Amino acid sequence: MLSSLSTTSPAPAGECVLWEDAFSAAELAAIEKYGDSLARQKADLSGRRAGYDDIRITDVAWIERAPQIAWLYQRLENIVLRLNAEFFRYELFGLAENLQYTIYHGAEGGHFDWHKDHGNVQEEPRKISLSLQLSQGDAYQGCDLQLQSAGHIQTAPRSRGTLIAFPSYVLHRVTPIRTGARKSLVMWAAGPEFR
Amino acid sequence: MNGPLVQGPFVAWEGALTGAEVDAITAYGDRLIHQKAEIAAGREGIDDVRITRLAWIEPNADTTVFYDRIAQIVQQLNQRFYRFALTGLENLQYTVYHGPEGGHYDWHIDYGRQSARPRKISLSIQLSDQADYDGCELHFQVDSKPAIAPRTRGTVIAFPAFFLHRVTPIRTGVRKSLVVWATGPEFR
Repeated sequence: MLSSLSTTSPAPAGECVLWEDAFSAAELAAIEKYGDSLARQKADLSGRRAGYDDIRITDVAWIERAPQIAWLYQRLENIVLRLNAEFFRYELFGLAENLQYTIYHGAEGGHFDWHKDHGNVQEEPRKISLSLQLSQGDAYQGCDLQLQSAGHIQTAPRSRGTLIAFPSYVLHRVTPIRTGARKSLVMWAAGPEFR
Repeated sequence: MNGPLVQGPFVAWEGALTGAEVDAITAYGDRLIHQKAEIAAGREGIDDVRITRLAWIEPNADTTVFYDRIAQIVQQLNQRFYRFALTGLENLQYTVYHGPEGGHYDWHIDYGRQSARPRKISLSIQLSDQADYDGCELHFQVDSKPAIAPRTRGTVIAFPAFFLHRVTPIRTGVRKSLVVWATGPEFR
């Protein structure tokens, strides 16, 4: 059972790399506070179309590279560099996009069906996807981050502070939330196309 | 001859191989299958993941013509669509799915990080006439609905080896295919 693993440093687990204590409790609280303070807008992804809510219902706010949050970018950049040096070994430019602060609400049935982050028409392709759990695992029901590989589904650990990193070509989803709210920080390390 | 076209997760090249080329591969493959077909069983020796008969076409004087042709196709596709660093081909895999055996291959990926020379581009070449079998479709999953590959004889279907795909159970008849992997240094 993955969620019972305890890691003090990043460790591979199935399709992803897990890092359970990449951030301190104080840092997690600061991220959550900052994200909550941002105006939230309904997720509006590339080419929103009729029926899009069938695929995704979440609230997102974009955390831009502003001075008061520069520390977070710096921490994340160091984290990505370490994960990349130890596990992925991709050519990377960096965190090319803003950080996505994401909230799934029980009342809205928040979810995000199977998809990949790599392969859209971005100028700077997403190569590593990272998700940081900001809610306690018992603060909500459902809303599991799941990765799919050879015919089986891997459910990511839910505990607050866990960082889940995986190649952006891995198929993944967030299952419907039943109760409560799940907050997470989602980011992507970009680089030249895989070769 | 049509050119290769992107169709969502895969590139399909209808008519990439001529009827005569397909005939030659099939004749050679059928002889091997007759001599030494392996039944590829699934995990734990149970056939719930994969049932096919397969034989490896090794590179030799008789098969150089196949290898040269396939290498040419891979190079063209790679230059145009993938631009991956590639170093070679694994041995060609001749694969036969039989209706009475319920041949199939459940969701999987071909790429694996463990390998020194990982598989980077996978190709599936349709060698049977589509009227010769029912079911046995090549599916890709990139979002919530699978994409289905064309079945015409002589069609090459190419995709990055890290894409999730499957072959659905065959209901009747026989489907033959040639499976090819282009390998190279780890993705970066």
